[in-house]
Amino acid sequence: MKGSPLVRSLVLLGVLLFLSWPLSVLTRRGDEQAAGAAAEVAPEPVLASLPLVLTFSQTALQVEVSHLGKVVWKQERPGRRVEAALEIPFPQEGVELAVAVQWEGEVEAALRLQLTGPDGTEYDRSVWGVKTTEAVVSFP
Amino acid sequence: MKRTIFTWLSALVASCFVVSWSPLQAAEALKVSVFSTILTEIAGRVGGDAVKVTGHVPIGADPHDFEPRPSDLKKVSAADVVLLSAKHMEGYVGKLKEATGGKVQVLEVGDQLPTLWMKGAGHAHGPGHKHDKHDKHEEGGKGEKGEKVEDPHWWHSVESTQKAVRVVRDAFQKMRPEQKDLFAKNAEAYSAELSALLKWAKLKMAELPRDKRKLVTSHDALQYFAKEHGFTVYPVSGLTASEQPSSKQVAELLTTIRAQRVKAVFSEDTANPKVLTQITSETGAVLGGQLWVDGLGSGSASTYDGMVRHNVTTIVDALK
Repeated sequence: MKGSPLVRSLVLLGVLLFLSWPLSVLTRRGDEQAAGAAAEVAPEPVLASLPLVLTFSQTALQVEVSHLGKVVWKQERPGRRVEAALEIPFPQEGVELAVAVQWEGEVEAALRLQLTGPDGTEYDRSVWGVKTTEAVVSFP
Repeated sequence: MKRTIFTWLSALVASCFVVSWSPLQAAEALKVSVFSTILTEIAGRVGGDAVKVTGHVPIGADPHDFEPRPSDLKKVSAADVVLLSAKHMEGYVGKLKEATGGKVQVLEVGDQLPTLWMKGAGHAHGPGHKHDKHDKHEEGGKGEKGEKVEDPHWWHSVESTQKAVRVVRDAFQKMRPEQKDLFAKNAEAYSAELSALLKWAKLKMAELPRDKRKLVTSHDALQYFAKEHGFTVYPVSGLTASEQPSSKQVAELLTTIRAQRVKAVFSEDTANPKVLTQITSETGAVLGGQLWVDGLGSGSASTYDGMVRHNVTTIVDALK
């Protein structure tokens, strides 16, 4: 190869830069794609109307069902069986309901909660108490 | 005058006689040496006036870094029973057994409780957490990178703490059968308080959506808490003094925090503020506050009830 060493070095540098550019682009795109795939954000849970059936073993004076610290259903002297619909989000991790009941009398009483999830799955839970019941119920 | 002196002397002799035959004299207080702030409270509550509890690990101290001093070993040798947190927490258990010459019962309370596991590399053992030649747990407690080891922080489950109360009660009853009823009564009263505490914690936790229960903590110490309250733990290894997370670990954590929409991260100290700063600046998560993970803390967290309330409130309020 003819020419001065300086020219030869410059030509070689140009060739290397020409080759490294597409490699750099390809590598960067790969990283971006990987990061994009990994950082896929979990979807926000949507609000759903969930049927809830409450069955009482004794007369309840007052019942409150709370979700995330807010009362979502409340009734006084609800009778032995009552149906409600809760407008709450139901993420795939599930939900928790805080239940507070004031019972008539001083014998042990139970409340059965049957909640139907947005996919139709039925969950069955029970809580007990004497005079009062205050509990957190998880679904599932 | 002589008659007066005689009367006083008689009264003195009689009172000494009465004291020497009293039940208190018969049942000398059980000397209990404890190497966990949590167990110090449990021993005091279960034993009441019938025990003399010496807490060797000060409140607020890191049990991973703790090493017993010669004065501790001297007290241990004079004790009736030694209570350890165990599940490999106390790497100096061999030293204690050597100091007692096998004459003092060493009760590793945590070893009688259910176990949860964590990644070895995620749990930075401090200088005190060495496993010497006497340590029977040497093989199980190393926690090499990638290997799963027992999470020793069992007290973050209130239910486990209630079980620990029963373990301590049983040990005291065995050593002092004549005070069986007293220990049973004390344990029952304390356990009832713990039930109320757990009920409060569950109700407070119900304010936090289940899909937001992602816990980014400084080191992997909250597996029991996570199980009791339905959390997933993402520990930042290296926040404790002896371990630094790799850039790959940090990158993975950043991706997870973004993907899981984690609102806050929690520290137990500021040993590695650089990583916390990086996490908060690159993800938008905020610093949720300081948690007491290695034992009782200061101020309102200097009791078990206060520590649990502090941790639960800090987590719920920051993540909801």
